[in-house]
Amino acid sequence: MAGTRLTLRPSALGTKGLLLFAALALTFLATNYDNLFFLLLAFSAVLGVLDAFGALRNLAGIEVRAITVAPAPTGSERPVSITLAARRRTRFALEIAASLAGGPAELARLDLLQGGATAAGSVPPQPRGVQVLERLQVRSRFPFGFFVAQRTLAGQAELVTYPAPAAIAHDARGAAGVTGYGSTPAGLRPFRDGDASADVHWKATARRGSVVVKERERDHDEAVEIVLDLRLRPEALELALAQATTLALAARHGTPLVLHSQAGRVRVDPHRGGLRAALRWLATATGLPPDAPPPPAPRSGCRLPLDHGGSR
Amino acid sequence: MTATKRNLDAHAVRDRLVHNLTHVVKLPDGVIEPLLCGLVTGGHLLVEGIPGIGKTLLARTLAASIAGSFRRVQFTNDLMPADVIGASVWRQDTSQFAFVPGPLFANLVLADEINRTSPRTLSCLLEAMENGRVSVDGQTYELARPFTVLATRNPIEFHGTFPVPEAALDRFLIRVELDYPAPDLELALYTGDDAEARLAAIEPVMHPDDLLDLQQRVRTVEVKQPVAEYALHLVQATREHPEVQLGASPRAALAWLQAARARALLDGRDYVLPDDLKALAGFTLAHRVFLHHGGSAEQLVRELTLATPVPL
Amino acid sequence: MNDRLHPFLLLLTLLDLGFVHATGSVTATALLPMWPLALVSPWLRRLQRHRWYRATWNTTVLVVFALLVHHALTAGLLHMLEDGLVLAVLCQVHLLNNIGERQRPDLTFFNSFLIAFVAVFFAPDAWWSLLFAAHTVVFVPALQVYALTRGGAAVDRTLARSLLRDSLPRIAAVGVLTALVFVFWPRDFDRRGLLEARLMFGRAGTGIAERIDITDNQRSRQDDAIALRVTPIAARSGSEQPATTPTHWRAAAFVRFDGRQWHAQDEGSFGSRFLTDPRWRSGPGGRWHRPAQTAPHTRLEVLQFDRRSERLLLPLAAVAVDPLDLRRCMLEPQSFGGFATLPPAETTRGPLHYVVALAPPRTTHALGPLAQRRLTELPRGRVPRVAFDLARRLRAELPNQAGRLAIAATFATWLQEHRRYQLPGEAGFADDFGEFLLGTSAGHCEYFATALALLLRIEDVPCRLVGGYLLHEGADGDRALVARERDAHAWVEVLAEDGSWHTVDPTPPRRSSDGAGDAIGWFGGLAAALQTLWHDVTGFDAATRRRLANYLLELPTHHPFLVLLLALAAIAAAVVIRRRRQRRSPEVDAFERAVRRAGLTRAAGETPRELLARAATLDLDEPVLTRLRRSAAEHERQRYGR
Repeated sequence: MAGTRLTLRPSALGTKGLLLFAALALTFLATNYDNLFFLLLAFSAVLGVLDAFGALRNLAGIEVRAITVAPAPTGSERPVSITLAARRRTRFALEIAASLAGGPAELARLDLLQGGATAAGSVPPQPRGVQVLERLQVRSRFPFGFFVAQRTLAGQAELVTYPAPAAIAHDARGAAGVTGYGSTPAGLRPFRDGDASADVHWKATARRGSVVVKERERDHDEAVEIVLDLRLRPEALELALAQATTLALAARHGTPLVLHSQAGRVRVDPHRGGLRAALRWLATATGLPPDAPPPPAPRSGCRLPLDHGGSR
Repeated sequence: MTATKRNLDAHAVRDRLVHNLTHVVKLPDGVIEPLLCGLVTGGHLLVEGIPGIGKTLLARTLAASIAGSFRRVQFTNDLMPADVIGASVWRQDTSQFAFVPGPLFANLVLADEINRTSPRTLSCLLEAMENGRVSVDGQTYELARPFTVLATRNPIEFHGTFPVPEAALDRFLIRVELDYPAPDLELALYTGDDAEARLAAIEPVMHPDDLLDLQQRVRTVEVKQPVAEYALHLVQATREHPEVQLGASPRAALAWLQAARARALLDGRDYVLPDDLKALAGFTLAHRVFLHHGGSAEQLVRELTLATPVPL
Repeated sequence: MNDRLHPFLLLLTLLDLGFVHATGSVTATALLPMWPLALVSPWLRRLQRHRWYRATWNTTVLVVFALLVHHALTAGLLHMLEDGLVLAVLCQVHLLNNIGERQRPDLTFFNSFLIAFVAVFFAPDAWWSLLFAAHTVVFVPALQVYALTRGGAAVDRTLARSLLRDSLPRIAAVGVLTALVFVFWPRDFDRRGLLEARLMFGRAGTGIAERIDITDNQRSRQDDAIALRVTPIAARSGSEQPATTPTHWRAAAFVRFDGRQWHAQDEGSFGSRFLTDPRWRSGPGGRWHRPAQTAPHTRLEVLQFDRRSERLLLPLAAVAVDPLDLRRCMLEPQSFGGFATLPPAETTRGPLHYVVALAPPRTTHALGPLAQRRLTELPRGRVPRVAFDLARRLRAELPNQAGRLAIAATFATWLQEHRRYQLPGEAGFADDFGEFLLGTSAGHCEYFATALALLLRIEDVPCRLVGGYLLHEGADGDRALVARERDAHAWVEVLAEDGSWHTVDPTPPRRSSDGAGDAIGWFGGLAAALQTLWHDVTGFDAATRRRLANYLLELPTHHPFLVLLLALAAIAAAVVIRRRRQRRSPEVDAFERAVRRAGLTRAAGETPRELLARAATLDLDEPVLTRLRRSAAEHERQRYGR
């Protein structure tokens, strides 16, 4: 891939070396002409020039072949593997970094690159969201360490950071799994936005004076439906998203899960997957103003955030 | 229109095939191309999708388009190998066993719901697909040429299904997933002629011999070094990805290149472009890559095609 | 932290110890404990996690530092260098034993460099250069390993092997480039350091000083700067013989010897009461002259570059000095028959230009008893026993009535024949004067002259030591003679019974001593050849470069076939390298150029066709788009197509 920028700056060692060289040169000028003294000056100058040259050459012609990074929850590191390739020469001591939303990050380090190699490293914790990683910085202070050469390379990867899963009270989890589209009535509950009028239990409504709807049991292979209303306060939204994450991760192994919100619908299935899409969906979810329309809710479904330890 | 003579224009063939398929089955564009590539490569096709979205119709249309014979096998759990490949029966008149060919003896075989049959019958089918011949009572019978199996698999889990092993999936060159048709296509389905009428109306695009000729010509399509390198890089990337349990095999890569050759041929080129590989990566590699947490690797392969640099 | 780096650091430290040894200013006993401490550091440094270990080291260094400071203050500044070097290598050994998480190796590299740098002033060139070459071979891979390990790399066998393979061409490049810069950089042998030009630090350098310290063996150095240039002025018509130019040019005379140093005759304004030579008189036009026995027979034009001695260089037989350009200096006659130049050299620059007329100077009056005693005085109790024995033995071979000059000549000849000449720092050079007298080791001119002076004074022959230059190198097609800084010389002047001074030089002729004459077999011959080669390298100045350039320019006309052959070889090499590199095809370059011109960047997984499709959706100029399309099509045809 065509690199965009190649920079060279002295390292701490290089700055010290430069000072020493300046002192040497001064001493050289201060004292009488001396052949061997000059040899020493020539040596250090050649060392510096060759280091600059070698550092640039060490990074020339490197390309990013693949960046693979898995989705991760907020607040935790995630493994990343970056495959680099370079023709002809062997390359040494490559540090791979990137500027991310959470600040500049050292991603991985590759000590030896002959042809192609994969560097394994980790991405520091990132805020929730989807970041597109378009540029990587490859750095090296090889060969002599007086200079740090840096090259910006084009790469393409998506950093999906979904909410960290939050614990759900056991009874709440039970409530989420009960209702569905089955034929067996399961109980009654107050009317919520999006409930179908056909489900209204008129007798109970008349008795109670408020609209009551029938709930039905879920068929065994039917997905659990979760409705996420995005018109929430930011902290409540984060809690809801965290709980949705817990459910989505659980759905990988158990009952299929469908998440609804104003932003769309996503399904996680133990057999057909969909977890990646769901996590991406959770990573990108943003809150809506209170006057936004309600989510298109299915007939029955559980709303998030769930009551959590009695507090809403 | 009758089947054309040899050295027919591959590009034109593709246009007419596409026309036939979209006219009869109302398939989205993205799906038709890989199917045709699979057909022209001489590989077998796996179509996944819920019942009732036109898989059988698709197979029949393909068969009609190449003016070849068409048979359909509905795989059930009590289907025996002999039901598929045929059996020797005692002929009273000749006092000899005579082989009665099974439904496998056709140019295009629709193997419906292959995950419903026992592993024994399935392996019998796979063996026939691999070798192009069947053995009954020590006698070997050549299958028809060209011979293409279009298998379907129902993704929704039902009782009485058997898992399809990984090795079996590897036998299929192309795997496509059919979803509900787009609303406009579906509307056209309701308002237009009935399917049988549409099927009757189409004209064969070529003769089975022409297809054989095309399959021969696919092999002559050139894959230059940079393109092969690209394939290698991407296949390697699937193996190194942290989420992957089992990466793409060299056979998968060869199948992929072969399909790409077919795409190039159908596009009127005698060389493969990285674009061919990119277009077919999801259809040829995704069902040969297995993730740790199950689920589909399609998303992952798509990400890798975005991330893997295309060599110039 | 990095076990792979440690062997390199150990090697560097050992080389540093070698550098310090090579200077010869530090006694071997002071360095003796350093070697084992460095060698066991791979094991010893494992103890560094213990507090007591680090405390012991730090205390040791501090104590040694205090001791050295004390030593330097009490023993005189001359020991500063010795103490500094000991401290530097001790620090290096300390670092080596304490490299770890707390102590990074940065300092080891710099300190190693500094030791090499300080040693360059004092070590003999050839030794220093050998050590330096070894230093380079270690320094380069050490830096590479350090650059790798400071990022926390675990250097396994594969990595180490690749690294060493990678470092070989780098070592070669550093070595060759350094040598090339060293040899071909323009040199200015007459350049004087800023310190010397601006401040008054000049006297400790090479050349002739106020006093001669025979125990200070580091001073004599191979400086090629020209000190003196003498051109005979065509003899007047009627002069039947071509002029002979005197070889010994005097700067200062030394009378008092304290067993260690010779003190100048004029030290402490002593000269006015102790006139040993005919007095100079000033004449019109700044001319100086003194009485001569005959009319001047030779006139020499002199350019004196050596300004540090602050003396006018004159031969013993000078009877008149005609200044041509003295750079506004004044001449002050000295009691020994020379001149001091005033004001001090640092205030004026450039060579002194004058004409000298030669004739035998008139003899002085007989010296008084005081002067007699001064000229035969021996340092009490500081003369080696062997000198007395030697003087008696040599004197016994001569008749009793032999004159002073005959005695001096005999003694000088004996010294020339029985003592070896060598420069300080070379192998076999005497550690002290006694060794030289005994004959177990070789010595330089100061030893020879001191020996002769002592032997003569033991035999009551009045004499003095003279410092100056030996003029023997032809220049400008032998029309002129030059003396370089390294031709600084010391010899003896003997006062004859008639009151005239005579030059007696006991030092063996230089060429025969370091030439093949003394060489022992092939090894000596090789050493001599190397010495000559090395001299050519260090003496590579503007004139030599001009000669080389001329030679190269004339090469095509003189050796056309050779040039043709070289050119063909170069072309072949270039073709081979080009082939091997497998240059990227021009289509790729053209396509990338077109992409850049369109202001686009190709994404990682974007094919040229996809890029074209993207470009078509952008608002690009039609010519740019056309060029992009064309180059993409060409690229596709060449790279992907048949």
